[in-house]
Amino acid sequence: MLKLRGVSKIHLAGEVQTRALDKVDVDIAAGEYVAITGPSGCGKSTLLSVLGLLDVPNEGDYFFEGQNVAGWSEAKLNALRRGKIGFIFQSFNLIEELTVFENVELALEYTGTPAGERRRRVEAMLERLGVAHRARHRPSQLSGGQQQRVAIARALVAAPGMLLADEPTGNLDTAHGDEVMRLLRNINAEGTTVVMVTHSPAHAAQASRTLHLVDGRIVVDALQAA
Amino acid sequence: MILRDFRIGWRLLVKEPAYSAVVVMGLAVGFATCFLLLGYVVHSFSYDRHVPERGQVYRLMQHWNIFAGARWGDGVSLPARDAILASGQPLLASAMISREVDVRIGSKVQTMDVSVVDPAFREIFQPKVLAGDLATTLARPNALALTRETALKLFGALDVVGKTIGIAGQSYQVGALLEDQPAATTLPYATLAGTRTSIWNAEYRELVTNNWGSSHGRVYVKLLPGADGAQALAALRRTMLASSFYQRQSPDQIASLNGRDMIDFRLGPLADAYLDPLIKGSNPVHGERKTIFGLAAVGLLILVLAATNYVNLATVRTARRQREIAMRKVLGAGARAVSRHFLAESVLVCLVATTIGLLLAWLLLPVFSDLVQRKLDHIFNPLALIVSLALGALVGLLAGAYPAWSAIKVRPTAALAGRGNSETSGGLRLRRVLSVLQFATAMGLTGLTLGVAWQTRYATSLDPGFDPNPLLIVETAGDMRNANVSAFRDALARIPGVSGVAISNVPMTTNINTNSMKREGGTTVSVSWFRISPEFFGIYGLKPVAGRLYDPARDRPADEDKIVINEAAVRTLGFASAQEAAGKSIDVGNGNIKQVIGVVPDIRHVSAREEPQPTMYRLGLQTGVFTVRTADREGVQRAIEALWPRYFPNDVLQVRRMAALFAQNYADDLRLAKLLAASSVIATAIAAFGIYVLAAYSVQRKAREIVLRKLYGAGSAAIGRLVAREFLALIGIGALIGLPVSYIALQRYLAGFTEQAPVGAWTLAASLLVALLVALGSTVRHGAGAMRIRPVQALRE
Repeated sequence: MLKLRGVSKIHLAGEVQTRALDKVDVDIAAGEYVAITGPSGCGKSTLLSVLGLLDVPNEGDYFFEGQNVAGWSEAKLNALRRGKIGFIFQSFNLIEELTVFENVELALEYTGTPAGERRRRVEAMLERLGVAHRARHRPSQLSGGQQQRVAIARALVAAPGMLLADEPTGNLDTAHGDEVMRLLRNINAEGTTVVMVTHSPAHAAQASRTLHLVDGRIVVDALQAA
Repeated sequence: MILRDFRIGWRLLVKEPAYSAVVVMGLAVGFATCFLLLGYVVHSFSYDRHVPERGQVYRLMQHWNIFAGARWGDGVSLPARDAILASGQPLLASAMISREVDVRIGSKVQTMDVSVVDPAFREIFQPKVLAGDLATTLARPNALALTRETALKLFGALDVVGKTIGIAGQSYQVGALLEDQPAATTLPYATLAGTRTSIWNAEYRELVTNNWGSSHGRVYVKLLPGADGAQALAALRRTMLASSFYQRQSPDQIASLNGRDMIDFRLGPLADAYLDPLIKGSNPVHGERKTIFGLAAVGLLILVLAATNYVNLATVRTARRQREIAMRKVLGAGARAVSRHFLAESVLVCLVATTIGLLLAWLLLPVFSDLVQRKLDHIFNPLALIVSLALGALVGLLAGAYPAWSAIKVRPTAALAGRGNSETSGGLRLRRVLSVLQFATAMGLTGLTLGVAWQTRYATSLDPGFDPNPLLIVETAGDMRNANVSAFRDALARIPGVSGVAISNVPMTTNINTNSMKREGGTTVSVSWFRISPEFFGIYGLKPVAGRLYDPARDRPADEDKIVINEAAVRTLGFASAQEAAGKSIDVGNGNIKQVIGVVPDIRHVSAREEPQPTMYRLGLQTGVFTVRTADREGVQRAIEALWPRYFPNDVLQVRRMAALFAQNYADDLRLAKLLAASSVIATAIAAFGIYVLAAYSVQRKAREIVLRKLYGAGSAAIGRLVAREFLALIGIGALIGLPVSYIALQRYLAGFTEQAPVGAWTLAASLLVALLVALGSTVRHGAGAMRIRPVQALRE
């Protein structure tokens, strides 16, 4: 599904160059559950950005579903991403001005889905994640766990082939964190590729494969025992 | 507020020069506009304040009852002055009859205004005499008193007493030098002469002195202690009724008055002279209360708009400074200290802006004075400057109140944790309301400006009934009974390129003479009249509607028995048609019968504000205004300039184009359009600036939403729409408020015209379009910035 060859990414901060990714080669097949781990500043989030077509590498090739997308414009990446990738963030990134329902519907707004169909799918997804009764509330009226479930509903409502999660349990207590991990496992079991950045060895252990990064290089690429 | 708060405020201003420049200049423009407009309003309400015991001074006003539609006027006759003086009441009265005369000093000829006054003028108005003796000057027939300004204009010096001035070949001595009057006076004078002056020839003196029907100037009355104004007017009325002028009336005329007097008189307080609605349009030194209050409202509105922008910008900045405010609070600053700090900053900004605004106003004063046609140098006085600075400080306190309140509401823990970096929904709503008002004002003013400009253009391009383009107008001081004027006419006709010369008593755009008229069996009506030469209709290219017009081959210039009337007069006199009128005899007053030889189409003597006047054209030699027809206006004008000194060495030549004389009718409208245009540009610029700031804040506030939408595939167009949607809604609501008001104001303005431009709704549509373009221009930068936000930022939260 995804293939990275010699991908490097350099961040520029003033005159200081930071090599966030250094000649990374990795293949991720459809249906895999991959955890990315490593110390702070090792390039985990950058790798996730590149995988999610949010950032373009400075060097190397990136094959997304067989197409080399290196050097594509943001508009083209935008079109390619539409409906195919879902995102979950540590800080939920819900929009306070929109209701729970509207936050989830946002993921379908640009996919050309008709309004009736959007409504049906959003309701079904909120139902599935157990937050349907909160549909008309604003995000700030929800608990942290509920907010992350809404964020997951938003990530899944367009039925993307791949879900990218950046520290999805970072802002949650243990109980809510475990619940989110269980959801991710279920999603993966249904066939969705999941790539997750995490600091937690316990959560990483739930994935089928772990990539451990140090200084922008993959130093460990290990399959978990099932 | 303590000095330290101001010092910190100053440092903040200097630290962000771009922000400070934008804020200060926006406010400064608002202050400058407000200062000039309010200065004009104060000027308008200060007329004649300098006159001693102003409350006792009155204008003698008169109203003719024999003319339908006649209005009260300040112009009265000298017999009326004599009658009120003879009333036995303790009062002073002085005439003031002003005319332009050409004066010669050495080899230089200039035009000057001479006001002829009675000795009592000196007692009533007490002009300040700088040199010489005013009483003696007014008593001598060949002496003049000059104001300081006139002395400087004529002699370039102030030691003028004893010097001589030539007028019409005679010498006059300067007997006194007077201080200039304040600019706000309804009786401006440049030169004073007594009623015995030789400037008046015998014919003119006879005309103004003994004729109740001749109103060439004004009469001012000062009631002394114990005087009863009503008694004085009653005595005046008795004298008029007993006069031979009154006794000469025909029974028809008396009957048409329905028991009223031929002339009514009243005493109008001098204090009301400038704004008296009764004399609107009859006096160039006159103001309209409605216009003055309108300008005051525009001035204050622009200041409010500018202050609104400051509130907007300062609030946005307060939202950005939450960490700083939180730190101050953590370190122990209470609500009072925080608010004091913000208020000091605001007052400082407003004081700096006021100072720059006053400087701007001073620079713009000549342009503004020209626009409103008033001398306004005196509005820059110490009191006005102190009041302006106090107003600036007050605006600072008011405008700083909301940002200060926002600062007080900052919660330190949330702000320091990077949360709560936005204002409340109430604050956002307030700023949206302010933006709506800004756009409503800008759109309303733009719509009105376009309407006024369109009407002015329409009125100036109205067909006057003849082609004014090939016509030049040359005025002489004499008339065709004078051999020199007659010789000048012949010389004009000989200039190569001149195809003909006509003569009239006044230019066609000046309509000052009216006469009563009555057809057999009809009622007495009032018509205007012109005295013309037989060539007139040929030169103006007019053809008869019925009968015939004057013909140089058939009619002698002095043949006073025949008249030509226009179609409006046919209707007013009650004829069924022009054909019926042609050939009929008409009584033009006191049994004086004339024959109507023909009817001419209506030509536009007056502005589009009035219906075409019923008019009579009579022949006669008392004509001195030449209309020269030529295809080569420049060449012929040069030839006239070469010719003039040979015939009129003591007079100033003025050659005017007929088309330009028509445009003069709308000079006030053009000035109003320019004033409104300047105000709309300022209001629109302020609104544009306001929306620019709002757009910046909106994009900042919506950054997270924009990022997430992009994450889920929103394209540039979708993001652009998201940013624009908010402003389109604001403009839409602004249009709903501003455009109807603009429409009503324009309809009220147009109601003053009998000929109205087909304005329709295009001015409103155009002002909406302007607002949309301005909003687009103001938001495009931030919109483009929003489109460029990279979705990866969502991961870097």
